[in-house]
Parts: sequence; C-alpha cells; structure tokens
Amino acid sequence: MVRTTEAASASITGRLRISGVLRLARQRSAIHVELVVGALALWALSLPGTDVGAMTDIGLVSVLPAGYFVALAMVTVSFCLAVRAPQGRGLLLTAHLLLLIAMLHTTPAILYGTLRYAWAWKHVGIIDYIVRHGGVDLNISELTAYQDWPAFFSFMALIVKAAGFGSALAFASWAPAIDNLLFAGGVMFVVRSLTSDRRLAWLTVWIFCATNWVGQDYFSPQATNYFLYLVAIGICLRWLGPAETPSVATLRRWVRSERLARGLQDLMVRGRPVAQPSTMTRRAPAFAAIVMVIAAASVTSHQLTPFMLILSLGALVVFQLCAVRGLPVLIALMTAAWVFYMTIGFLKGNLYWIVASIGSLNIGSSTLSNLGSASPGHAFVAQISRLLTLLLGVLALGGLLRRRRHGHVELAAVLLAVAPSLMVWGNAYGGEVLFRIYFFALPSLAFLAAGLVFPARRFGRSWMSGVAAAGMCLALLAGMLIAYYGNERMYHISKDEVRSAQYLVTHAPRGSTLVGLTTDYPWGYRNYEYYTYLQISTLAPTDIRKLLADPVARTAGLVARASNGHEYVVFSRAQAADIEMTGGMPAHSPQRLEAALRASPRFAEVYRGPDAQIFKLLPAGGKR
Amino acid sequence: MTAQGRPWPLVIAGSAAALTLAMALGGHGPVRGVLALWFFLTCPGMAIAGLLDVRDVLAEVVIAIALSVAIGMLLTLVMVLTHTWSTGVATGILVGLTLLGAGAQAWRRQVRR
Repeated sequence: MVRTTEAASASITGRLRISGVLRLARQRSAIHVELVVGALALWALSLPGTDVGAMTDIGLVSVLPAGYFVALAMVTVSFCLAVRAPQGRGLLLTAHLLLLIAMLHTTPAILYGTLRYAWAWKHVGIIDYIVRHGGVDLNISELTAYQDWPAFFSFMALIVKAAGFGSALAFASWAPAIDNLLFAGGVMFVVRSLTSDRRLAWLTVWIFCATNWVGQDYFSPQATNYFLYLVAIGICLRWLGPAETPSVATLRRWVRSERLARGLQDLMVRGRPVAQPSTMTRRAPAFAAIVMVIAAASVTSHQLTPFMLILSLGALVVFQLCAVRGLPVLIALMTAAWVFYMTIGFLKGNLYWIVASIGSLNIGSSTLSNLGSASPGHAFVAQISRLLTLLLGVLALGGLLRRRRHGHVELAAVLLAVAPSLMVWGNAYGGEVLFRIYFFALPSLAFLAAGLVFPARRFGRSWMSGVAAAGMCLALLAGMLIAYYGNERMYHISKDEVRSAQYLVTHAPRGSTLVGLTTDYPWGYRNYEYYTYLQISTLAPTDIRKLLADPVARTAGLVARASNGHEYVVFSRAQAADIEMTGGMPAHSPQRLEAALRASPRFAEVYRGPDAQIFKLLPAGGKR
Repeated sequence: MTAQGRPWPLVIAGSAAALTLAMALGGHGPVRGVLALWFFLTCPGMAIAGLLDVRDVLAEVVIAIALSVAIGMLLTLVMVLTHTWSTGVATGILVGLTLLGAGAQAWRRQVRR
C-alpha cells in the first residue's frame, strides 16, 4: 500500500516536473517566436521607401534602412540563443533559418521588381532559345558553352512550357532564395552525416548562410549543380562507406614512418562519419546508382562541378570514407566523354587557355588583382570579402583544434574543405577559380567554425556560448552584407533598363549588331541568336583609347565592321556603374561617348529613358 | 517523425494528376505555374526516394529534389540533342514515372501491413 502511494506520488511529481519543464520550454520558445515575428514585421515594414537608385559603390547596404539591420540582428541573436538547446526546437530553428534566407535573398527581388544580375538574363535567353527551337546548336558562336552543357536549360525550358509561362522571367527572380533553401538543406544533409550533435549541424547551416558571399546562387546551372554536389557527397558519407581501414603494414607501403602510419590509421578510424553504417548496406547499389544519375546530370549541365565532385569523392575514397572506389573514376570517364565528344564547339575557341592553365597556380583573378583601378567603395567591398574569407578560415582552424582537443576528428570535413583547392592547379576558370574553391569548401569550413562553439556535447549550453555564437554570426553577417551586396549597383537592372531591352528585341531586326559598354545589361534575354553583341570594355586598351579620342567615327566603324544590317549602341546606368566601380575604362567614358553620339548626325537616339539610351547608326547620308 | 508515416504516394500521385489536368485545360495562371514547379522539382524524385527506406525526412526530401532535377535534366537533354522535343511527351514520361513510383510505394505499404 505504501509502495503504491509512493509510486503514485512519484508519478504525479514526475508528471508535474515534466509539465513544468514543458511550460518552461514553451515560455523560452515563446520569446524566440516573438523575436522571429518581430523581426519579420520589422523587415517587411522597413523595405518600402528604399531608394535603390541612390545606391553607392558599397552596394545595397548603402540604402537599406536601419530596420533591416535591426531585424537581421534580432533573428541572429534569437537563433544563437535558441540553438543551444540539446534537443528539439527543429521547427523554431527552421523558422529562424527561413527568415534569414528570405531577408538576405528576397530583399533585392522585392526592392528591384526585376531580375537581378545580367548573367541571369542570359540564362533566360538560352531557355528562350530551347523553347523556340526545341533543341540546341552546338556550333553557335554566341554563348557556346551554354549550348554545349544544356541540361539545366532544357529542364527549365520544360518547366516554362508546362507551366504556361511566357519565359523563365516568371520565376527567375526568386532563384537566389530557392537556391539558398536548397543549399541549406544540402548542407544540413551532409553535416548530419558528420555529427549527431544537432546544435552543431544547425549552427553550421547558419554560418554557411552568413558567409556564402560569392554570389553563385542566382538563376544558373552552377547553383543547381552545387545542390546536386552536396546531395551526392551526403549520400556517399551516409550510405556508401566506409571501406575497410587498411592495416598499418598496408599504410607503410605509402608512408615510411611507422608512427605516421599508425597515426594515419587512427585518424581514419576516429574520423569516420557518425551516420555511416559499419559495413555497406544492401541498399548501397541503389544509392550508388543515384549518385551516378546525379553526376550524369552534373556532367551535362556544368563545366566545373563534375571536377569538384571527382576531387571530393576521390579524397573520400583515398581515405577509406567511401567504399565505392569506382565512383570518382566513372564520373571522370563520363566527364571526359562529354567534354571531348559533345563540346567541340566550345573547345575550339577555348582550348588554348584551358591547356595553358593546367598545372599552373591559377590564383590571379580580375576581381582580386585589379583593385588599383577600382573605385574606393568597390575596393573596400573587395577588402571586406577577403577579410570575411580570412575570418572564416581562422574560425574553422580554431574549431578544428578545439574539437580535436575534446576527442572529435571529422576527417571528412577536413577532406571536403581541402579537396576543392586542388582545382587551383587545374583551371583558372576565367579568373574565378578561387571564388569557386571557397564556395565548394564553404560547408566544411562552416562546420569546423561551428565547432568552436560546440566542441563537444557537454559544451555550448551556457548563456556565454549563446552570446559568443551571436557575436561570431553577427560579425560574419556584417561582412556578408557588404561582400554579397557589394556589386549591386551594377547587378541591379532597373525597370527602365528592362524597357529599353524590350525595345531592342521588338525593334532591332534580325542580324543587327548591338553594342554596349559592358555585360551589365539584359543582353539576349529573348531571340538571342538573332544578334551580334559587342562590348567596348572588352576591346584592347589601345583600341578603347582610340575610340574615346574619336568616338563617332570609331564607334560607327566598329559596328559597321561587325554587321551587315542595323546597328544600335546602348548606354545604361548599370553599365556606367560597372565602369565607374571597376575602372574597366577611363573615367567618364560613358558620358563622353553618349554626348558625342547624341551630337553626331550619324546617330539617331531611338530610345531615351532615365536609366537607358539607345542610338541607331544611320546609313551614310544621315537619313533616319 | 520518420518519412514512413507520411502520405507521400497520395501527394505525388495527386500532384501528377493535377498537373496533367491543368495542362489539358490549357489555362495560364499562377496555380498552373506553382503546380508545375512543385511537380517537376519534387515529385519524380520523391516517387523513387520513397522506395529507399531512408527513415529521415530531410534526407528523403533532398534526395527527392536532387533526383527530380537530375532525371528532368537528363530526359530533356536527350530530347534537345535528338531534336525530339515535346513538352507533352516529357511531362507524360515524368508523370508516368511518378505514378509508377507512387503505386509501388502504396503496394509496399499494403504488403508490410
């Protein structure tokens, strides 16, 4: 009887305790819910009235209202305090993450009302081509690479047609938000293979979003391929390993020192992903097949991602973290077959620099090396980008050392951070390879940096840890806002610039030559193969100087040489912004050229808006 | 919650049917647009991922999206390279694949009960 009473009393006490804990948890969660809702409201209310036309060379941050920054800080601090809870709160943390992604990646689309970034317009143009022709032209002279790696564009063309859209413009503006959502899911998928500590996984995703400044999330094949890469890596880490760890005797065939061989073996054993089964499961062939399907899509839709996949999978195979050793070899064969059989048109025009850059240390880049001619604002943005990258590198190193001190060694994270950097000897990738290496190493760098706050399960629950995480994330986000939004003055395509481009595609006859200053214009978003495109900033510096010395005759000569039909010269705000920011042409070149053409009887102004002007070259004799 | 208890077969089969109907009716509007984006980006992959016994919703969803994108890319790639492009045929193949996968998932659930 006494026992029964004691049991009942204990049960009631237990229930009371549980309900007390639940109530406390609800109260604590309620604060975070209020902060998220408050941040959402503040963000939404702060955006109207933002004057994007007043943007300076440091980008969108120069015009964003204070409410935006306060809202971003609120959601970041709330997340960092909420993430400390060892269990649960998945929905709450998801809400925080969704808001962060929305604030970072829908704000430009909301403010501009147009598709951001000229290259996204080109991608819309390729889709338009496939919609109209139902095929590709592997020998076309304009934008050959897109026709040679067409899988992304053909898939988007299917969606455009099946959805009944007029073009991909119907949804392309929202691609950065959708892509970042996919990246967040992909990073979480990979990281949960590396650790069972959910706090570490969540903070990794947050840091990833706060440091993904390289801008490869716009409507493009590379963004979609990046997600495919993450999923392929995640599958390998979770279901396709590990291979049997080699014995010390085997390892000594490769390293002379026995101590080193033992250390290497220990690293391989301790560094295994937590989610990996001890042996390959019976479903492994199905997962390997899925990786091959994903790789095939990647090989046929993007030039760089398959190589990154080969490097990363190769590193996992070498260190026995992926048991399907043939995967990187098969993907390499598939890539070689595609490149040498299907992309002859592209290789014809580009083989010389591809071969030249193999084996060289390709660390030069237009953005890194030409800061001497950049405007002070643009140079500041570039310096902040470097500092942000450096800061993340330091945090990642600190996190790696701290987790190692507490007995955690995630070998896969280290390998996936290092493997993409081998690409520096493979290809300059138009001067962009360093940015792409950072992009592919980013999930692992973010994971290692998060390890600084959560080095082991017993750490990271105190307020101080939350404050440290918030400090770290706020510092990274501050850099991100400048680095990511820093080029917006030239990436922003205004409504008037879009109207002028619409004028061109409706008035310029097939065969016309369209001349501009830079690529920052919606060139070729419709009927792109009808026209020949020329950008003055791509001419040799001596030719640019000659053109500026005698603008009318040289511009007329330029277009007349290139075309047998009608010729148009386009000036626009974003192109002028590019020249001012990067120093790609002498100062005030756009204004001087425009004034000279306007004063000349050889050119007639056929479109004039606040942000764009179009001139048409008149036939000899000056008749309109 | 694991992925096993979720009504994926019903959702993806319903999505396939709804898109087919929307395309047959031929209207142009946001509903058809959202339906097409949803179907092509998730459903064919979900039809296959649901057969893998992944038991983790996040893993199942990311694999489903990646597979949908990859299958869509490869199918349309073949069509553009062979100049056999047809929106109806491509959609039909993907709808068929989706219904097949959804049917297999539903059958497996019945057998396991």
